[in-house]
Amino acid sequence: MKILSSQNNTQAGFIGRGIEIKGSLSGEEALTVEGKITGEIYLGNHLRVEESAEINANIEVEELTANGRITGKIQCGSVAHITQTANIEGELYAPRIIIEEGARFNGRIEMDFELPEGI
Amino acid sequence: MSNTIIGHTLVIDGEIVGDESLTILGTVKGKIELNNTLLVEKEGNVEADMIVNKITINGSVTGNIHAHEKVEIQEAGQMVGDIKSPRIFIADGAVFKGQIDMDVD
Repeated sequence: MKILSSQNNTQAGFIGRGIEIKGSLSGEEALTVEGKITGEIYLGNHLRVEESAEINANIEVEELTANGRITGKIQCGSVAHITQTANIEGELYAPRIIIEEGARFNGRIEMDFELPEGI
Repeated sequence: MSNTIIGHTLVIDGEIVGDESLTILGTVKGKIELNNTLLVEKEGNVEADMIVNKITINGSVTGNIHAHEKVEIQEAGQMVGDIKSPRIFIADGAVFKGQIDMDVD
C-alpha cells in the first residue's frame, strides 16, 4: 500500500496509472492521481496530479498540485501549484496560484483579491 | 506495480477501467472492468456490474460479477447479485444472495 504524506489527513486515495475513471469522484481525503479521470472531481482536500496523469474534468478542490495534464475548469479553495511539468488547459480560480517556469498554461486565471479603492 | 486505493471518504459514480490491482475502502457505483485483482475492504461499498480477474469481498457488493479466475466472499462480506466464475469461495459467515454460474471457459 502506498501511503501519502498529507498535512492534516491520515488516509489517502491513490489512482494508479493503469486505471481510468469516467464519471464523478468526490471525497474528503488527499488524493494522488497517476491515471486518467474524465468527468468531475470534488475533493475537500489536497489533489495531486502526477506527470503520467491525464485529467479531463471540472475540478473543485481545496488544494491542487499539478505535475501532469489537466483540461477543464479548476476551482481551488486555497493554493494551486502548477509545476514545471504541468500542462493545463482551461480556467483556474484560486486565491493563491503558483506557476513554475516551464509549465504550460492555456486559458483563464482568476485570483480572489481586493481591488484598491477608486478603481 | 502501483496499487490503486479508493479511500474511505471517496465516492465514485461512473466507470472504472484498468489493468492494475484496485482496493476499495470507499464507495463505487457504476461499472468496473479490471484486468487484475479487485479487493473490496470491510468498509467498502460497491454497487456495480464488474468484469474482473479475481475479486475478494470483505465489504458490501451489489451487482453482477464476471470473474475470469476467482470470486472470494470472506466472512465479513455481503454480496447480492449473480456470479459467473470458474472458482468460488464463500467463507463461513458471509452473506450471499444470487445465482452462481461456474460453467465458464
